[in-house]
Amino acid sequence: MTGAPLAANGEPGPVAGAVGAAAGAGAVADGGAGATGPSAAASAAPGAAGPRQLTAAALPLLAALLAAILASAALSRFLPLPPGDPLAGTLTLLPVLLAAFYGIHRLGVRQGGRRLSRAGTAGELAALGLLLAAALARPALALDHASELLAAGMLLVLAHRLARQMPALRPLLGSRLGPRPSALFFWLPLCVYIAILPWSAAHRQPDGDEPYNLLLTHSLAFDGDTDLANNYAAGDWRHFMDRPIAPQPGDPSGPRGEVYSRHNALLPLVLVPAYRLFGKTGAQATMALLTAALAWLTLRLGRHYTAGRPGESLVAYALVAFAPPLLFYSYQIWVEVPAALLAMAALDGILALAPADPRSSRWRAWLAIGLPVLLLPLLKIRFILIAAPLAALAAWRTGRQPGHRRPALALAAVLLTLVVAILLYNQHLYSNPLKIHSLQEIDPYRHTLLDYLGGSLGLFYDCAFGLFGFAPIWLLLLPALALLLARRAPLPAHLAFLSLPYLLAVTPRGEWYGGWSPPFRYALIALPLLGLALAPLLAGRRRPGARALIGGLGAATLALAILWVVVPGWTYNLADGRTYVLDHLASRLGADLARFFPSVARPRAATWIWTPLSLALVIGAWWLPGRRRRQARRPGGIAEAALAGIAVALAAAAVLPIAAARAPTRVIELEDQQVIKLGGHLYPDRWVIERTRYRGGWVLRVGDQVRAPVVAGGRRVRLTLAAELIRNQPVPFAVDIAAGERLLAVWTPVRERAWEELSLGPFDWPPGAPLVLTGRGPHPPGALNGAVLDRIELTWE
Amino acid sequence: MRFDLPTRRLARWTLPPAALAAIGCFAAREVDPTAGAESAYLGRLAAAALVAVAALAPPPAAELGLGAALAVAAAWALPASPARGAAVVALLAATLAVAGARRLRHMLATPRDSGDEDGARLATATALCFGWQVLLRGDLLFAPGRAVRPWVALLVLPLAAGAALAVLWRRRGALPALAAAGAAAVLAPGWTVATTLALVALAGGEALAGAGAPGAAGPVPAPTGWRALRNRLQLWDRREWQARTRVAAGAAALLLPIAWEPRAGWAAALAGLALWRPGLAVAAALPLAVWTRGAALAGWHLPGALAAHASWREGAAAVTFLVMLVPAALPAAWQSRPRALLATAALIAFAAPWLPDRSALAAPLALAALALPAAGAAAGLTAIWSAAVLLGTALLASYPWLRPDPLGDALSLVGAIPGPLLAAALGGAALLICIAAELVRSWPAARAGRIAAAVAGGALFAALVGPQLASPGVALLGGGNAVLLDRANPSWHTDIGPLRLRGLALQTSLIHGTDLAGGTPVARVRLLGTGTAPIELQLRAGDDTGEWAARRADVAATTRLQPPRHWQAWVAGDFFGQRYRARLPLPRAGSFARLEIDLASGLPPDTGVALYQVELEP
Repeated sequence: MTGAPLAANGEPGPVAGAVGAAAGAGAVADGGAGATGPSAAASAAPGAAGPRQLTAAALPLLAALLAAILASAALSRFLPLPPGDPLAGTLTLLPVLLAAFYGIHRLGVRQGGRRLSRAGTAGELAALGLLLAAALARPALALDHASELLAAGMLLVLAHRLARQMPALRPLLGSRLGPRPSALFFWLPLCVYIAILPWSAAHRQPDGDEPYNLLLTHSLAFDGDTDLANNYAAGDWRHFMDRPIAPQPGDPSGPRGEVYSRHNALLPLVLVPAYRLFGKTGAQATMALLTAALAWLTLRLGRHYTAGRPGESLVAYALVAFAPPLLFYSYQIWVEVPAALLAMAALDGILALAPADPRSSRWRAWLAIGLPVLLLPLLKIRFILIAAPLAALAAWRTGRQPGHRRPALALAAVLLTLVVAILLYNQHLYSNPLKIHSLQEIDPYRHTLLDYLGGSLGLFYDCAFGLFGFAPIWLLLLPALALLLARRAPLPAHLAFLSLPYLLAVTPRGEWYGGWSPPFRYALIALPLLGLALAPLLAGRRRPGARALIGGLGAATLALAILWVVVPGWTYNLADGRTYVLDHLASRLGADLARFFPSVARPRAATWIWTPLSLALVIGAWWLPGRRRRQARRPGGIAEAALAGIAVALAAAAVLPIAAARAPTRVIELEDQQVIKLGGHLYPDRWVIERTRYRGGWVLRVGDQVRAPVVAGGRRVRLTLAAELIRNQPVPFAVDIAAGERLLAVWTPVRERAWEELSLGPFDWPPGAPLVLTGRGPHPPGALNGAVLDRIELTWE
Repeated sequence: MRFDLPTRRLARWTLPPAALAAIGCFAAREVDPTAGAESAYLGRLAAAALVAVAALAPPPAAELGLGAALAVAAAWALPASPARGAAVVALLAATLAVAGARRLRHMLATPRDSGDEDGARLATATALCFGWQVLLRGDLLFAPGRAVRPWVALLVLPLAAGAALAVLWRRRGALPALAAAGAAAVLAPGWTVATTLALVALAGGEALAGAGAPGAAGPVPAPTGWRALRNRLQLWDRREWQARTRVAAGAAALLLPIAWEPRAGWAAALAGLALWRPGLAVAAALPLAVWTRGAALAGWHLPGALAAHASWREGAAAVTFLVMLVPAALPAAWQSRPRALLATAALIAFAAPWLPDRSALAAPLALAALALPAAGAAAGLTAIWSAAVLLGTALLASYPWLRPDPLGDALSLVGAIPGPLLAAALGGAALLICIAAELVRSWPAARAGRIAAAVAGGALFAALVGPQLASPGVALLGGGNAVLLDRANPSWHTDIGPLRLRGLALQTSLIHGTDLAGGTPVARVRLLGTGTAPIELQLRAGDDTGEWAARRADVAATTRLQPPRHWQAWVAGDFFGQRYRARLPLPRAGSFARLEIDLASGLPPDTGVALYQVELEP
């Protein structure tokens, strides 16, 4: 692969052919003949307006926005809601959001976009009015979860608006993506992120790294330093959460009792102005701004890969911006979004470099590349592994071009100096150049291939932390990447080059999933490129199989996205092989559902089955041979395929409870939700750091009992119990193992604090009987004896 | 004819059974049998509503797919409770409304030949009527079993009503016909025999009118060539046969209501007749009205069953309902063309005895809606108002509300109890809006005027409805956290902080309270003030609360206590449990710090009171 073709459009077709490899991205970046930027689109579109007209149009919109702000202020004062009402923030913000969406529509039309149907708008307003009335009637309605239901309803109205507004903005992209997409592609996601912010912020306390980033922001904003000792002492966490926080393990301390955070100060510095003015909400709104900028940049980046497919790029942009996971990171304070923004800005600059750039613009271009590359390590030390490949890519693409060699070398030198400085600083402050990490973590000899495979698979397939479980629509990446690889498009190469070193460092870690965080945290940085990878595939979206896939996966994603927004805490799963959703369903069905879904935290058969199965199903379904022409001729024929996809998804859902009730039980994890516990407690504690290193289980003490539902897979069964004795008293302890009321065996452990694998049976198993384990023994005063029960394997005969 | 027959678009017809399977399989495996019963009911409800949506939704029918997926997601994700039912029903109502609106727009935007259009109208009307029936009479799906009547009510009546609606639609236009069907459907609510036959009679009148109209049997093709004469003769025969059939069918349709209920069916027959021969209908209706209501007013005794239902107030209430459900009738009456029909409708409504209930008014009310023009301000107003009343009634008639008088409850949301005052307000508002619309029409900035009028109307509507819906109360109990007062735990109290209150609202039900006499105090409510004297209120059986299992067949058969109108229902296994809401205004407003609720003494030992919600009204 050489420099110039890297930037060429990876897809065949008349447009790509016309532009050609020689024109490359540079011509597009310059707004040359091949580019049809928004200005060209606007000038070509009927009703398009010049800047003066736009300004004239903006004035009434500004007036409307001002009126809306006043209305919001009045609502915040006079809305008849009790203090702390979960919908108060959303309802207060409603006038501003309505004005913003109205403004986006009007400006879109001014710039050449399509008008939205009045009937649709009237329907949305009517639905919103009904929801508003119901929100005010909640005390009288006395329905459980009324606020959550209303939030879901408002979210549906928002989704409906988006579904109408996105195609209406399509003409703004013209026939070819340009270097400067309309600002509306920034404002639209920002409005959506701001719309969900009040609800989400009210329903989820900052978690994971967030409170520490916020405390650092608070310290910078009000003390002007990074010493957090006084902030911990004064309980400054009260400004943004209810739960107290303490210094994290590994946080450095100074000679005079200073306490510093192990988190870098760059992101808190960015948040300081808004935090100083509006507190936590200001910081979250700043994150929403950064996320909206990332969404806009994704569309801009599309000019290098899918320039000739603006429609498909718009769909890809919409997926990145409005589907999980970016939607949920939009208001959360993690470094991944700004890192992705910096990385994509640098990549965009690199791909836009052209040999013919004049000297002045050349330096400006290199500054646009160098600044984000150099900021990445300052954001988080592990982003050195993104910054370095970016610098290498820049050097590789321009190394042979006159005039670019020196800036490339300068960037590499500055980056190297910066990295050395960071390492020295860390050595000085933490006595460890890598802060709390060690080189052993990335030493490939210390990890097995399975560690890498597990982490990589988990980022996509894990039911609790994977991208596909979070938003199934992303399963389309499988055929998309297959298509790009078949076409030898540059995007997969760029994706691999940029993210592989980073992923090789994070995937073998015990906390490959990102610790206590929403799903797909570590790989979020690659999301824009993954989104753009979908665009070429979407060109074939009218195939019946493709429609069915989009329909089925899209409906599932919409339902899940609503669930995640309404119950944001459910995105923070524990690394125990289950999810909150599966636990909820398991407790209602009294059956183990998690076993049918892949988990890397708790590997099981499904973990290895899903990967090849999904590859075969999704790729096969996308290119399913069908009577395409006949379908296309018939009105609505293609749409019917999407409905068929949804019907298949529902049928698959119908099979799940049946399978849970009929598929024989082979493993019982005793801490699982469907196991009924009468006493005992979880082991280890839920909030233990790196909990995956422990054999999670349930502590059964004297007098406690657990009852696990069992689906018999035969008439006789062998049991293998993995357990550990905890002896607190010098008295005997035993566990009775029974099938319902019938005692099968008694386990009397002897060795303390040692895991035992106890094989029992075979026993006759009465159909429908649960497995009952009861702790038994004397119980003198003081701590009771007990056992940690990890799992029971059942082998049926 | 081309419409969404199952054979043409198979995929959409797989969605209702797929949704039924997904919810049904989940319900069948639920650990909690009560939750399973509710899930199964919601599954049936969703599948039935989705059948209507599948028939209605034009391509790409996204509302069908997403409605099915979200209904399943709600049934799976939400815990079993009335809230889940409310969510699923609201979702289905919205899906049906979107599909119906899109279908109407699609039909208006797509010109077809007359055969196709007839088929599309029939399919749309039938699907709409079936969808309304599912929402308005969703309790039919609770346990339909093997009895024939629920299935007839669920399938046959909507089909008949749909066919009648299609006939009216063809002749009168979409808006008046749909408003007529809507007005008829909300009265009972849903398609009962009375409301269905009312629509059938009106369709019969239209058929008779159509048979007499020139070119009623369709366009006559011009035959050419040597077979022209023979073809002409054959076509004449066919047209003649069709016209005769139409007359016979129309006459039969007019007579059907009389055959079913002779004492009240004549009102429907007269309404149908009015569409054919308005003068004849007025000539018949006027003496009837004078005879029945005049006699009642004068205190004359009428013979037979008619006497029991003849009262002046009933007649006045009927006219009130006409104005409340078709408020645009007043402005339309200023125009000469619809005036005769409107007068006939008012006369028939005034005269019609409410047998078996007020659904006997379906025909005259539908006639009034049919008399309205198909376009213009009155038509727009009718469309919006009919849709609002239909939606409100549907939501209140369906699970978990299952209100005995959903129409009355829906109308009360405007701010007044349904009656002459509300009718005068609605009619006056309609008159003003139509006058304003006429004035605005001549303006240069007519569009801006219309928008301003719409915004003003919306704001007025919101100002009227808002206070009825908005509960200024503070809810003390979290959703789903009921408190049971019984002999073991006879008291419940809570500190409410010093709070100025004007009243309380309690959501309660009685347990084992069927043997109590009406008016028996079942709980004592005390508010202890800060510096003010305590206030004591009584919660009384029959007035403020009732038995939770009052709908269960064995309880309903033996109960002594007549429950008040319930507030909310829930699936309690194989029947609907009920809770009641009572507003207890304080004799004087004051600042209070503590609320105590005690079970009344002297109740039977197993009687208890369940508290579902306590609202404090500041």
